[in-house]
Parts: sequence; structure tokens; C-alpha cells
Amino acid sequence: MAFLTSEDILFHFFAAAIVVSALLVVFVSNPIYSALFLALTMSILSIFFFMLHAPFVAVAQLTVYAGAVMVLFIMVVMLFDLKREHEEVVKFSPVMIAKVTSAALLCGFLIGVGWLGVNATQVNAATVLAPQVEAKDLDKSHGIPVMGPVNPDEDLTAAEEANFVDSKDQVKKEAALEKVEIKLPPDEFGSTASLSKKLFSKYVFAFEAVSLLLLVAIVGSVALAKSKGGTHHVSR
Amino acid sequence: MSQDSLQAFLHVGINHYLVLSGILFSIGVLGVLTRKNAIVILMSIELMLNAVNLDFVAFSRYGNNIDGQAMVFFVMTIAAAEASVGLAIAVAVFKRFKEVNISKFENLKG
Amino acid sequence: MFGRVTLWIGTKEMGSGLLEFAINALKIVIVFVAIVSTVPLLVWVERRGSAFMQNRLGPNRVGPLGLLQLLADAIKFIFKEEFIPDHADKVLYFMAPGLALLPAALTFAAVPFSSPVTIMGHTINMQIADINVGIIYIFAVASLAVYGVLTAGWSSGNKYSLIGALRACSQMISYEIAMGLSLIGVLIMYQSFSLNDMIASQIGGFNFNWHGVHHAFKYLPAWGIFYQPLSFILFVTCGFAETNRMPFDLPEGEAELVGGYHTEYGGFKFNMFFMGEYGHMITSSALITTLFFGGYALPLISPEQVAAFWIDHGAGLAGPLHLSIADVSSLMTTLTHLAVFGLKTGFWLFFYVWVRWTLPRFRYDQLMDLGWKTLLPWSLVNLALTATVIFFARVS
Repeated sequence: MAFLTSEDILFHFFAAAIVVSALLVVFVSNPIYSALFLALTMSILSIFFFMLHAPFVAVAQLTVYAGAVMVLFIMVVMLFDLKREHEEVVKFSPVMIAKVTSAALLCGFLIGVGWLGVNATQVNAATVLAPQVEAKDLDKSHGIPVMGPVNPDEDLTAAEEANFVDSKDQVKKEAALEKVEIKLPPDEFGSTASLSKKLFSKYVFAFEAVSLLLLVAIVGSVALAKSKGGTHHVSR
Repeated sequence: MSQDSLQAFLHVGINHYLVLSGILFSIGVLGVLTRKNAIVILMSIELMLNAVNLDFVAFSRYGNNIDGQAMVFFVMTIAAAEASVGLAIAVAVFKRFKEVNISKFENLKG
Repeated sequence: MFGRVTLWIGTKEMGSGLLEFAINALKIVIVFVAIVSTVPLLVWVERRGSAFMQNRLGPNRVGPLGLLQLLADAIKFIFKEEFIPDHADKVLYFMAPGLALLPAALTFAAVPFSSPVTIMGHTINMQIADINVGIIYIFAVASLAVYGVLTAGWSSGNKYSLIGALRACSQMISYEIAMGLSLIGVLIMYQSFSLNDMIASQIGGFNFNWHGVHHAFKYLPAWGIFYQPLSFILFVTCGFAETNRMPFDLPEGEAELVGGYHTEYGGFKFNMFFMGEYGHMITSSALITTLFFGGYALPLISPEQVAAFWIDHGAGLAGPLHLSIADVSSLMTTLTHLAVFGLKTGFWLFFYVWVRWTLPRFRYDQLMDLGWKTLLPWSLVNLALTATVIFFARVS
């Protein structure tokens, strides 16, 4: 069937936009423009996340990155009142040529691996036989939520248990690869409920550790950036 | 190029997302290597982290496994924490030296 | 070469087929035009309402009751001289009003303004995008409103504008936190981020389960405000701060900072800033009605009952419009709900105007203290309280 879905057109359009925007981040000399282009890059990336059936991650990207981190960058640049960088970005010295070449080689390597190294059927075969565990435990009786029990000791969900194939089952795996196609994930995939089921059962330690990390980062940033004598005294 | 191979080339699969993520990552690397302004270097690092996020989410969708999105959640949080601490350091450096151009901080150069 | 590649317009999200694509595009245009034309009406309400509160007459010369005053103002704005200050950054100076208007227009996309209508077999959602993470999408896009303010302040080349912009920016990002946290209690109750689910949960009478026993009080509507009153107070307060409205409008205050971040803007660009601000106000009022007051649904009357009412009484319209009775009933139900939504949102918009002309402005440090030291802890208290009540209600 020869067709091009609208999702493909959107992907190619936004892919071109995001690459241009990222190049402008690196190549414009005014740091404020760099920061604004990076904010644009992050917003376009959130559009990609919506296309990839990850709505929660997409709005988190907009809120955290485009709405907070980049605002922080822009405020810092405005407070510094940085004038344009007077050095040229591309200087054609041997060191610069070496840097650009190495970045280009890395780009070529990553494109090669991305285009040829990953076969779509291999990625999808791993879970195509096991049904995706869906978030159906929330009982929406009016007002008071009733949630089914979640086993915190359970390392692997039912789907992954079915996936765990050791070498003895290689034949079964090869057979599975034969008739695989990319299918749309079920509706509940990527929803907040299914993501949080994973986060609060399998990754709960990481979740708590990250909150501690954020506390440390907050205290550290305030301690580093604070002026001598606090905000109510005249600094020397 | 035949019709089917053109369609296979243009119809979006996981490979397209991986290539896009690779390009963004290498643009970030170029930024870190080339630019002299400390803030722009921090911004390029954020760009690299975003490219990695795209990779994770693409694998999550095409592999039908939500763990990729959980990983993205953590990467985002850590990147935000790192950006804030990095900027706090940059602010402290600016206050002391009135300069964020890294070529001015080459005291340790042999 | 491209002859055989046929375009298939459609993914599940955009709607399969050209017809749905066209309907969605039409919805976007209609909603955007509706928001942009509600803004002059709001400004009229503000000017006449404030005049009434201050015991004077407002605009009453142009048109009946001064309604055409805003048209005259708009025409004046279009013909005003467009100037650019000397030290301004020209590109950013032009972009800033657009950046201020863009999030205000985008946030309204997830708000359902009426029940879905079914005509001739097609069901059309009265909502531009039925995103299942609706409410956090709205917060995410609303947090992008900071860019318009920042670029406006920076590009004006004026230190008062810059100070105003930085103050506005830190105010907005501080109150985003309190606003998000104040809603977590509400979200625990509704168990969904989607605004449609929230409206569906608020239909019918006030009821709840306590230790397995179902209690109901059918004379009170099941609105969010009766389940989460503290959250309502916190959310409304943060809504004022987010939209930079009085009493939180220090960044725009004339006495303190000339004009704040839009000092150097005149004419049509200034108008766009105000459209952005009023657009945020409209979305904020729409959110308050959807989260706490049942959205487009009537109190205690479910949409099915309204549809049944119109099936009984709508027969007279079916003939002239050449539609079946079911279609007419669906259409009239949607219009009824649209009117209800309009009334509720209109009341909250009037509330915004009312508070602006009643309360004095906060000083900047009082404002930040309120956000961080009062609203944030109370949001956490609300969350803890809600979680505790739900936990004990479930224990049997």
C-alpha cells in the first residue's frame, strides 16, 4: 500500500524545524537568542513526544524544560547583561577543524547506527507476544478512588515475565520474528496511570532518591548564588 | 528509486527517530566543543540530554514498553537539577570574575 | 514520481478523513476568533463595571451603552504610529507581543465548552483537543506565558522594563507551583487529568462512599467546590497571580514601574499584550468553572435529561431544518450547554474585574511571601487532608 500518513508529514516537517533550531542554538552569537532557540527546540521536542504516544512526558517536557529550566537560563543571561561574544564562532584554526570533524564523525556514527543498526521487527518482537499491562485497576466509583493492590516486591510485570526468554527458547523467538508488524500501542499506553504504576512499584527507590537529589540541588543552588550578607544588607 | 522503497524511506519508523536523536546529540556536542561562553555550553549539554530523551521515548513506543518513559522522567528531573546547580556556579563565577568566557579561565593550562 | 504516493490524511488523533480534518480546522478558527472578539467585550465590562463600582459613568458616548467604544479604540490602535525605541533589540521587540498572545490562545484548546453534538451520523466534540492529560497540558502551555513578558522587558532597552519583566517572571513561576499543588487534591478526587472526565464526575447530586456505605444528598450538585473548598480558594488566588491581575499586578503598576514590561509598547503591539492577558483570564475562568462548578453541565440535571427534554420539545424545529428529531435534540442540548458554560465563565470573568477594582495592590515582597509562605504550605495541607480523608473512607 503506497501511502504517506499525515503523521509522517508532520514528523518530517518538525524534524527539519528542530534541526534548524538546534543549529541556531549553537551558531548564533547572542546568548539570549541561543536560549530562545533552545526553548523552541524543547517545545518542538514535546510535539514529538505527543506523536510518540507519550502525553505525560510531553507535558512534563513543556512544563519542566521549556517552562522552567529555559526561563532560568534566560533570566541568568539577562542578569549578566552579556554583550555579544566578540570572538567568532568558527575560526578555521586546526583545533577548530579537529573539533568539527570529530563532531561530524560522531554524527555519522550515530546516524549509521540509528538507520541500519536497529531493525524495527527486532524491537517490536520482544513485546508483541505479551499483552501490554493496562491501567484498569482504578475503580471510578464516584468521589472515592479504589485501587487494586500493587505488589511492590514484584520485579517484572506479567508482560515482561512472558518476554523473558533464555537461549533455550531461541527457536520460539525466531519464529515470532517472522510475522511481526509495527502496531499502534493500546490507548492506555503512555497515559499517566500506566506510567505511574511503573514509577511507584518498580522504580520507587529511584523516585524517592531523585526527590532527595532535588532537595540537595535546591539547597546547593541557593547557597552558591546567594550574595554575601544576604538580601537585606548592603553588600560591600 | 522505486515507489515502495521511497515509501519505506519516508514512512516513519523507529530508525527516523534514532537518526534525529543522533543529529541533535551531535549538534549538542558541537556546541560544547566550539563555544566559549559557559552559559551556551550548559545549554548545549541540555540539548544533548533532550536528544537522549527522544531516543528513550522512541524505544518505549516502538518496543511497547513503558520503562523508557519512566527513564525519561528521571533524566528530566536530573537535568533540571544539574542546570540549576550549573547556573548557580556560573553566577558565582560571574560575580567574582565579571566574566563567563571560558578562555579566560586557563590558569591550569600547562 | 509522486503520482502514486497518495496522501492519507489521518492518524487516530487528527481524525480520519478529510471531513474531520476540515471540522477540526474550522473549530480552531472559530474558537480563536471567539476568544479574540470576547476580549473587547471584556474590556467593556471592565470599564463600565469599574465605573459602576467607583460611582461614575464609564464610556457612554460611542454606541448604545458605550459598546462601540472598543471598536473605536481598536481602530485608533491600528492607526497609531508604530515606533521602536533606539536601544531596542528589533527582532525580539517585534516578536514579544506574538509570544505573549500564543500561549493564551493555545491553552483554551483543551477546554470543553459544550457537550458533543451528533449531526447526521458525525459526532463533533465541542473541544479542540480531547487530550487525556488535559489539565496538565493547560498548565504546561500557560507556563510558556513567561517568554512574552521576558522578551518584552529585555528587548525594550529600558531598565524599568527589565526590572518589571523579571519581577513578573518570578511572580508567575512562583505561583505556578502553588497553582499546580492546589489542584492535586482535586485531581485525586477526579482520578483523571482529562477535563471531560471531570465534567462527567460532577453530574448529579452530591454523594460519596464512606466505609462502603453510599451517602447521597440530592439537593446539592456534585460540584468540585463542595468536595474541595480549600483547593478552590487557593486556585482562584493563584489564578489572579498567574494572569498578573490585581491585586497581583505590580509588574504592570503605573506608580511603581511606569508601565512595567510593556512601557515601550504602543499601538497594535500593546493591544496584543492585552489580548494575551485577557485570553489568560478567559482560560482561567473556564478552568474554574470546569474544575469546580460542573463545566458546561447544568446543576443536578444530567446531559441525558436535557437531551430527553429537547426530544420532547424540539419537534417544531425538525421540519424547517430538515434534520431528524435526535439531531435537533442533540443540537439544542449543545446550545443549552454552551449557554450555561458562557454564563458560568462570564460570572467568573466579572469576578476578576470585581476583585481588581476592590482590592489594593500587593507590594512585591508581600506578593512573593504570600506565594511561597502561605499558598504553598496550604496547598500541601489540602493534599494531605484529601489523601487522609480518602484513605480513611476506604478502610472498612
